[in-house]
Formats: sequence, structure tokens, C-alpha cells
Amino acid sequence: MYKTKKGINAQVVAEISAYKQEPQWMRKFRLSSFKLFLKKRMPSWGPSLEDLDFNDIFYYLKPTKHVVGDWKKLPKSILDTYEKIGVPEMEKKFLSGVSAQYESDVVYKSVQKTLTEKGVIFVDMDTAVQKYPDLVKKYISSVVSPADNKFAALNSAVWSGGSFIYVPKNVHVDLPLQAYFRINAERLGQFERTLIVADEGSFLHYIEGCTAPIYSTRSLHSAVVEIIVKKGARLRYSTVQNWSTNVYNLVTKRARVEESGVMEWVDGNLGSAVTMKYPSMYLVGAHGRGEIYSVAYAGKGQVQDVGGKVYHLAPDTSSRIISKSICEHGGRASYRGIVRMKKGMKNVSSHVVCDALLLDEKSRSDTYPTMDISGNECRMEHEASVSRVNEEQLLYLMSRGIPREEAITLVINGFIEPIVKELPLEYAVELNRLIGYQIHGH
Amino acid sequence: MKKTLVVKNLSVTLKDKHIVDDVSFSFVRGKTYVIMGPNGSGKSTFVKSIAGVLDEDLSVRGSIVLNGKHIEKIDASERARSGIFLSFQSPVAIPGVSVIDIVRASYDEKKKRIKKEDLTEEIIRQANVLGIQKELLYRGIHDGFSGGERKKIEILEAFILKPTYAFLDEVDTGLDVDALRIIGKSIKELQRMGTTVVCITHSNRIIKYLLVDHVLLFSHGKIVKQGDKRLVGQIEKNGYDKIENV
Repeated sequence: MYKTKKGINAQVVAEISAYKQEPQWMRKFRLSSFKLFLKKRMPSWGPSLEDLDFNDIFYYLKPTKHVVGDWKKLPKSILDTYEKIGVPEMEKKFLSGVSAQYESDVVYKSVQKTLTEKGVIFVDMDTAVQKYPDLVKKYISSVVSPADNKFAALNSAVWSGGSFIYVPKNVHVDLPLQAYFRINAERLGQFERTLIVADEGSFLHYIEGCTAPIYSTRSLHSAVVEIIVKKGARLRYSTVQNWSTNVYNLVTKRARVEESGVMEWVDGNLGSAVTMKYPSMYLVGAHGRGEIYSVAYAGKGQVQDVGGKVYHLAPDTSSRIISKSICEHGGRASYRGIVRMKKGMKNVSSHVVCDALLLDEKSRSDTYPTMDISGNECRMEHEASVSRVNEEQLLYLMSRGIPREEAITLVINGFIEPIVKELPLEYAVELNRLIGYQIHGH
Repeated sequence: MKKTLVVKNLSVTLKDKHIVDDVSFSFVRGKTYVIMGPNGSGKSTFVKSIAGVLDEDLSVRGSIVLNGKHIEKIDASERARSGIFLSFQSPVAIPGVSVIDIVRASYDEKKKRIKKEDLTEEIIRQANVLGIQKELLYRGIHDGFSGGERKKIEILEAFILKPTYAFLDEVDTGLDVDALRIIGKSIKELQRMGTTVVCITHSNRIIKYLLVDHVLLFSHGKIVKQGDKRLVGQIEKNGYDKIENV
């Protein structure tokens, strides 16, 4: 199996590009990004990343294509969880590494056929660089510049895998597209790069990840997702992730929304040691709209530092952020968000709600909202709450014959319902069950 | 053995203050009871202590025996599963948890006649009888509901759960005449289905819909007077003060 040596330098970056037989422009992009990575500082705010050692990481491992992963080699704790939350068969195969089977999968084939008929391009990013260089060149780093932050620079230097999607003008993709419909993709790559272009008047719902816990021996996942929503298009990007608790999950997600476009981020974060994720949008055209729904669970030893950013750069734009977090056993979940309204912008509005539910005394939740309003005729609402599970609600449910543990689960499911209802049903059911499992261990 | 709910020497205290003071009473299956008494006389606390839903800072002593089995030590959910139901005077709102979620979670298929997959349909049917708008069934329970809607939802739950003893705490308060008639008829229907009803009320309004067997008058945490339906008339006519001293 091909892999680069541990640690990172310009030679490793060049080697990755050479191994993938990439065109010169991509090689240059990687190398100049690497220089930025060296220059950029670690974030001076947020959770501690002290234990992250850049020299103790493999930056590229060639995916093993036709290897059928051994389900039994997964740790027992992970297998037990799969059993208990009832992971769908599709996901099980995907997670266990039998992805080669998808080439013959009926579902996959019919999806690809429909997409091709509509002119939709849906390939992994490496294929896109080879097959659609002009499109990739035009859009890559147009929303997330390598200079955005240290981890965006790192991703730009060493990225592998991820999805490339182009939806042509006025095309509506009715079925949500899921990452595991893609063949030969690198599974849940460490440095995924996803680029989605929704051309004028188009619609797409893209789903990334799955609710099942993802076992990983790797310590760092640093993905970049960039999205371009053109005039009158609408894009929804849903993520549910549950990394194993040794992982640093540091993700840069940004969208540019043009005139009358709509961008919706739906984000569910469970697992990981530290997650830092603030889906963002730049509303650059009039009447653009952005929505961010996120839910986070932080258990023992976990830090979920999540939120969202919206930049209102055009008049008549609106945004909404709803963030819900649950902490227990000393876990820490924070909301960190920015809403900026540019000077001279009229009729701009934003509504931010962040609620935290603490299940015990040891856990902690903080809110760091930044609001920078320089426009006129702008409306900004911000609501925040921190609460404990309400005893009166539990007693009410118990008085209807529901055992206490189940009552707690119901109250928690109710708390995150405004987010969960935005997810496709099977994901919603699974997420609810998973949170119940996290809390009660069965 | 007669099927009864026997409360013996029940006291509820907040620090040194007695809210319910050494009350003993037997509720017989099939009879209908009305509890009256001034505000703060301990009526709600009394029925809450039977259902097991008192605040943690209250302490309870005494025994509660349902069909020969002590239930004072078991929690509210087990008491409910043994057949006790309480309709709350001001039920708490639970955002994101609908009455359908609740009934589905609490429904014990083995004991009841409806299959779980038909349950939603049954809830909608009963809601229709009670004049509850369908969309309320899918919203967080009591979350932004009007007073009347709350009372109806509480009765709806009783209908589906079919308890053996239903304690209805001021289920008639704040209702308009139409809502009152619907609730009155529903309680009667509940009785017809075999539920023993215990109503806390302040007025004759609901009582005219029911065949009342026994009236209890509470004052200062004690049952100070008992009687039949006529006692309600006397209370309405003379007020609590006079009756207590008769």
C-alpha cells in the first residue's frame, strides 16, 4: 500500500501530487498552500489543540480499492453500538469497507443514470481534477481560500477525496445525494475536499456522513467544503458525523450565495475529542438567504466548539442560525458565531437562537456571539439559553407511564427537534436513537 | 377483596408546614368522587402525592395501597402503569414532544385493545370527539396551547391510557360553556368505560354532568366534611367558611 512518510514538508506535498499524476496547476496550488500553512498560526481562540502533533500524521494513504474490509476487525465497542442503534445495512457495508460492492449496486446505478440524464456531475474530487479541470480550476478556493485559516491551508496542500458536484441551470435533483453513492471514493478521507456548484435556479440536497460512529485510528480530520449557490439556486448540505473520541475534527465550510439564492447548512456533531466547525456563508447578492441548523453532543472529555458565520454583503438578505447543544459527564459544548452586516446595506435581518442543555453539574456550555452591524435598517435578534433537564417535564411524562430514562430521552429529543426535523427521516430517527444511546448506554 | 385505593395517614410537609395533614380515605372502584375546598387547602398536593409527582422538596409519609399493593414507594411511571392517572391543573409545556409521542411511548400494547400501529389513528379519532384540532397533536404538548386546549389534551390522554383511577385537578376551570359540555360528557364516557373518577373542582358547573357519589371537603390539609351531592349545593350557597364550621 502506498503512503507518504510520517510528517509533512514540501517534498511530501509534491509527492502526493506526483502520485496522483495531477496537472501542473494543482501541484502549484498545493505547494503554495503548504507555504501558507507554515506561515499561518494556530487559532488563538477556542479549544486547546496542544496535543495535535503535525509530525505524527500520515498525510496520504492510498485507498485500497477492492479490499473488502474485515467487519470483525473493528473494536467491539463500535460493533456493539452499530447493533444497538440499528445502523442500516447500506451504512454497515460502507463503514466496514466493502465499498467495492457499490459498483454493482442497483441503487447506485439508477442514481447515476438519472444524474447523467440531467447533466449533473457527481464524482470524487480527484476524478474531477482529471476530467473537469476547467470547472475545478474556476471554482476551487473561490470561497475557501488557502489563506482562510491554518487548517484550510493544510487541506489545500494535502487534500484527497471528497465530492465534486455540478448542478446545471434550472436542474432540480429530487433525491438527496449521499456521499456513499459515489464509487471508488476514498472513504471518509482525512483531508476531504468537497466542491459544489449549484448553477442558476437549480436545487440540490447533499448528505455527508452518517450517524454511525466512525472508527478511526487517525488523529486529525481536516476537511474543506466550498459551495457556490448561483442566482435563484437552493442548496441544502446536511452532515451527521460521529467520529471516534480520539479525533480532532477541524472543518472549514463556506458557501457563497448569489442573488436570491438560498443556502442551508444542517449539521449534527457527535463524537470526536475536539470539533471546531462553523459553517459560514457570504450573502453577496440581494435577496439571498442563509440558514444554519446545528446540533452538538459533548460527552466525557469532548469539546464541541460549533456555530456559524453569516456575512450580509448585500441588501435585502436574511439569515437564521439555530444551534442546540447537549453536554454531560463533563463535556463541553460552545456556540461561537459571527453575524456581520456591511455598511450601507438596507433591509437586512438575522435571527440567532442558541440553546444548551446540561445533563449534569460537571458539564459546561458557553456562548460567544459576535455581532457587527454597520448597515442601516438592519434587524438582529439573538436568543440564548442554558438549561437543565426540567424535573417538572420528567414528572409529567412519568405520570403517563413512561420510565424516567425514556422520559429524559424524550425531553432531549424534543429539545433538538427543531434541527432534527430538517434531516431526512431515516437520519432523524437514527440521530434520536443515537443520542439516547449516548446518554443511557443502551 | 374489594377493589379499592386506600390512603392511610397521608401527610405531606414542606419543612415544618403540613400541606396535607394525616389524611385517610378509601376510594372504591366504580364510585365518583368530588373534592372541594378553598385555595391552598391541600387538594392538589393530595392528588399529586397519590400520583407520585410532588416536587422533591416536599416529604411524604403514610401509605397508599392500590388493590392490596403498596404503591407509595414506587415512582410516578410505575404508579401510572398500575392504573393511576392525574390530569394536571396547569400542565407543563414540553417543546418538541407531542401528545402522540407521549402516548406512543407510554402505551402498553399487552394490556390494551388497540395495536400500536393503529394508535395514531385512535388518538386522532378521540381528539375529534373532544374537538381538538389535529395539528395540536403534532406540536410540543401544551406549548403555547390555550387553557381549554390544555384541559382537553389532558382528558384525551386519559381516554387513550384508560386508567382505573383518574384524578382530574380542576379540569373545568377556565372553560367556556361549549368546552365544559364536551369535557363533562367525556368524563362521563370515561366512567362508562370503567374508570373511577375523582374530580377537584370549585363549582357545580362540572358536577351536573356527573353522577356524584361522594363529596370531600378539604381545609388546612384535612378532610373536614364528607357528604353526597347536596354538599356541593351547600358549599355554593354558604361558602367554605360556614360549611366547615357546621
